[in-house]
Amino acid sequence: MSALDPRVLALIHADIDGELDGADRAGLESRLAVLPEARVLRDDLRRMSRALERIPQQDPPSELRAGVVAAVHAGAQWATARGRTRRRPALQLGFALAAGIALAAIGMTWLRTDGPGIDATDVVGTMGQRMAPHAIEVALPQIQGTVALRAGADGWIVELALASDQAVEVGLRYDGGSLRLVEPAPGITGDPAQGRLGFVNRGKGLVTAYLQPERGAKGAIRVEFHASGRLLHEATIQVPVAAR
Amino acid sequence: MDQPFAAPPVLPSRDPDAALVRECRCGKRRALDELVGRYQRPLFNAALRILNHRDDARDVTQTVFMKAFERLDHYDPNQRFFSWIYRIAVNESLNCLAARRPQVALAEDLVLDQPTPEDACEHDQLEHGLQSALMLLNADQRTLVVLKHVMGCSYEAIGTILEVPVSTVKSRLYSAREALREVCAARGLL
Repeated sequence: MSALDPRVLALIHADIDGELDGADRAGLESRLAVLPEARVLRDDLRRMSRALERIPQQDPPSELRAGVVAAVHAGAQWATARGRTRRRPALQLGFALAAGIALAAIGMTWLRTDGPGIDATDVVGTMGQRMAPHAIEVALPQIQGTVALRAGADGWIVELALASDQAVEVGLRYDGGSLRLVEPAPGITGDPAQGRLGFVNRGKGLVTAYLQPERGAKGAIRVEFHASGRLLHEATIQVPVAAR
Repeated sequence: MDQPFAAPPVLPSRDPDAALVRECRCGKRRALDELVGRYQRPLFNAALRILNHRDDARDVTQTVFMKAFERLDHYDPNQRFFSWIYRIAVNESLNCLAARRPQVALAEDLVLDQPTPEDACEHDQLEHGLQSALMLLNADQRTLVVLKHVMGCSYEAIGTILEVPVSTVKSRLYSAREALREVCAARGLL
């Protein structure tokens, strides 16, 4: 560090930051005239600060904005839904019963794989690995909303915030050996050991599923949307390694 | 240079983000999108300069937004929104650094210093060496230099972000700058 008089140092730094008024600047210049070491310091700091300010800003990843907005929006809807279901447990139970009956009546048609194929889209495979939101946005004529994967305390939370005017079967498929269903939301049925879950969406709501990964396991969750026995769309959310 | 964090005027004025924050609290997606659009670039660049790692900076930026919007009910509207979200960003960046294994930091050092031919024409050696020089400062010093010189924050704004008095900002910034100068000089950049 410099051995210069602290008052001179303070003036130099204030000059670098554009904080000096006319009188102080004149005082500094008179001292610099007789202190070559101080002049070198001021010139170095000035060069350095200008170079720092010229460092070009980089563009954030293109998917960042949409991913954040979708995940935050889904989270907000989830919080709202949680608050609503806490106040109205009967409604929650009703939704679970209705969804379960509807799903049984449909006969799990969403699990079929012989519908018209759409290539799986890894929408968010490049998103971050630590506490990062992994989300897809659904914008189909039949159903709209988001499906987001968020880090929970000891696993992953899949949040499906969806709205549809008609009954749309929503399916989740994953490797049941790598991801274990911890806590299904009311209304979700299927075979967790086989990595098959589903529910029928009608109207606006939010459904959550808690998945715990085996240590070091990663994988993917395929999300499928069916209506009237027809596959409308499918997309894949990559699950990062080792959720906390 | 875009400087959204310049010193606030002497007379109190409305936070330009206040209306958007209010709309966000009401669940307006358009406001959320606009706030993210407004802040993603400065937050990402601040994290990038502190962490010197693009993927980490992206992750930190995402986490900052998630935490900020989850805690929006705790945001004090008397405070500038940028100070509040920037404080989250600094804390997240420092947490990320603390969790990083030392060899990772070393291995990824200089990632941002590789000049393209176009860069080489436009900028001098000092500019190209600055990021790696910054990484040799301790995290607190680097954060101060980034906030002041890369992000253009005022002393007062930095004080609000770091929750320290302006006098402390100045003394720490002066030390950080002199430390950076020594690193640059040792590397033949000055």
